[in-house]
Amino acid sequence: MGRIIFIQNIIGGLETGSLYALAALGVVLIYRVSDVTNFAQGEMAMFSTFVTFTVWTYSRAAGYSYPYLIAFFSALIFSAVFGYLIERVFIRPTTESSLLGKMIVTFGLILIVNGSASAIFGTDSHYLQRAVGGTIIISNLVIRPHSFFVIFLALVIMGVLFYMIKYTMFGVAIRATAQDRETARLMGVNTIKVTAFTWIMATIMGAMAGLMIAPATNVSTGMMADVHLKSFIAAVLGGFTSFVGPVIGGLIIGVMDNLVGYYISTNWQTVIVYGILILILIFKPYGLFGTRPQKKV
Amino acid sequence: MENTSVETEMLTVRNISAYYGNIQALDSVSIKILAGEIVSLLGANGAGKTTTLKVITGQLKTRRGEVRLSGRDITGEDPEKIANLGLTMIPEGRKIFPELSVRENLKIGYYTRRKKGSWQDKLPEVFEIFPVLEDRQEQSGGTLSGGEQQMLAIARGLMAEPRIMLLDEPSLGLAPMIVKKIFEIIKNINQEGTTILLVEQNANLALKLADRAYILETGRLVHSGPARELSQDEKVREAYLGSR
Ligand SMILES: Nc1ncnc2c1ncn2[C@@H]1O[C@H](COP(=O)(O)OP(=O)(O)O)[C@@H](O)[C@H]1O
Ligand SMILES: [Mg+2]
Repeated sequence: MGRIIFIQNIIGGLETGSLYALAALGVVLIYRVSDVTNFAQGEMAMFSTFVTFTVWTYSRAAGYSYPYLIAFFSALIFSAVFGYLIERVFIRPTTESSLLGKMIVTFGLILIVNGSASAIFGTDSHYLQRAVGGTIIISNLVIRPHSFFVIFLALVIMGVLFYMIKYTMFGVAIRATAQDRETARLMGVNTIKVTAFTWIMATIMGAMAGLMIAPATNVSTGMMADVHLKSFIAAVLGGFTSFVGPVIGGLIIGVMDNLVGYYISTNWQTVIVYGILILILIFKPYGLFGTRPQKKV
Repeated sequence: MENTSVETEMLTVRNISAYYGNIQALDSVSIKILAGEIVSLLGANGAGKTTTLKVITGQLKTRRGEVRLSGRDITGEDPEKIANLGLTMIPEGRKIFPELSVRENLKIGYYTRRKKGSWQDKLPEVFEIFPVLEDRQEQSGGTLSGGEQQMLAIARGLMAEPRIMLLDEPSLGLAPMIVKKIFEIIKNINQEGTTILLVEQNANLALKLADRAYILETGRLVHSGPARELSQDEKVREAYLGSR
């Protein structure tokens, strides 16, 4: 029995952890390419989830055969457009402002996106189905296929992103832009396009995290609070200067959260997880996989 | 019309002035480079050499004057657009990407040509000129020595198969032996058909290599002419060649 509960905790931890990882990777992608810390990532994901939920509700009411599938693909399309628009309208005009200025812009975005969501969708909380329903029971081990779907989806998205960044010409352009924007432009790289791409990609990843966590949190304006906070912790833990770090960080936080919550105490869960994070940062100030950031000249 | 060997202008800089805030760094500078030439832009530290290059590449906007590439007005265009027109800059301080591998640095050099061919096909040609880079392909750029980094910067520029290459003080901080080698390579690149604008403080070497040269002093052109004439000019010798 003990081992089964342990396994269940691990799987549950990997499930939420992979969502933290997705969201964290989005934040780090934007940060590395344009020095902007997008504090509004969670709110943007919430907004995307509301749109997805609305499509799902209408599709069901209209009697379409695969309402969830329709909603899923509209989430992909909407979040891509949404990410592009946010970058174009709020971020690009403030490219030349200070780091603090850029930070304030994304704080402002929190208010704008959250306010718009309340105004458009209301403040009620709504049920949204799981991507894959049902449970599988293997000798007392209760597994939701949804967990595996979530982990699989996160792996696919991250796999595609990593492959692109590592091997394609555009991926090298992304890393070059992250290291030295001015020299990347001398190489012929349209860095404005690169930045726009990172916002699109990050917003899609946020939207997927929102859609996958929604069955547990319900769809509401506050639904992303936990994932958003944990994704930032994951990024700090793994290191903002690495792409792999935040993913590992997310998985560690997810699993640790579950284990500490179950075996030690739910009351102390948050305190202990943060305590461990701070301990790690004392010994690895730039995160587990991070390196001291090189000064941009 | 009967003269088929009309010298074609590769790069024409006309009366450009540039400012940093309210401080004027360039005052009405004009430079002309014909296709196939090596032209050197000389001057002491702070004379405005880098500023001139930055105006040409579009990194710095000029208030007055114009820049033409093969007759086409490129004044005020964005750097990435100018790079796509076949002008490649090897910036001061090499500016290689330290966290990209040597191979990846070369790969990004091919960015403007990515739709026309494959970067891997271009590699052997570049490795033939810089064998040391072939041995260090997988190393990250930041781990190379100064001389190797300069070679990588030039190699990265060659990947773009440029029509004109601008080099900003490639000799800076390098041992004489390596400088000599790099200047030989620049000469070869030129003989293969690439027009060169070479910015240098090291006037001795640059005048030996160049066909013509311009000399900048505090933002203004003070001398220009064939390199051989300049190297024999009394005033130039006194000010730049260390003879008294
Ligand atoms: N970013 C900058 N801001 C303000 N002044 C600058 C800047 N870059 C260069 N300058 C000034 O412009 C002048 C020309 O500089 P530069 O073109 O770099 O000279 P060079 O390349 O010939 O050494 C110098 O007086 C320098 O101090
Ligand atoms: Mg200079």
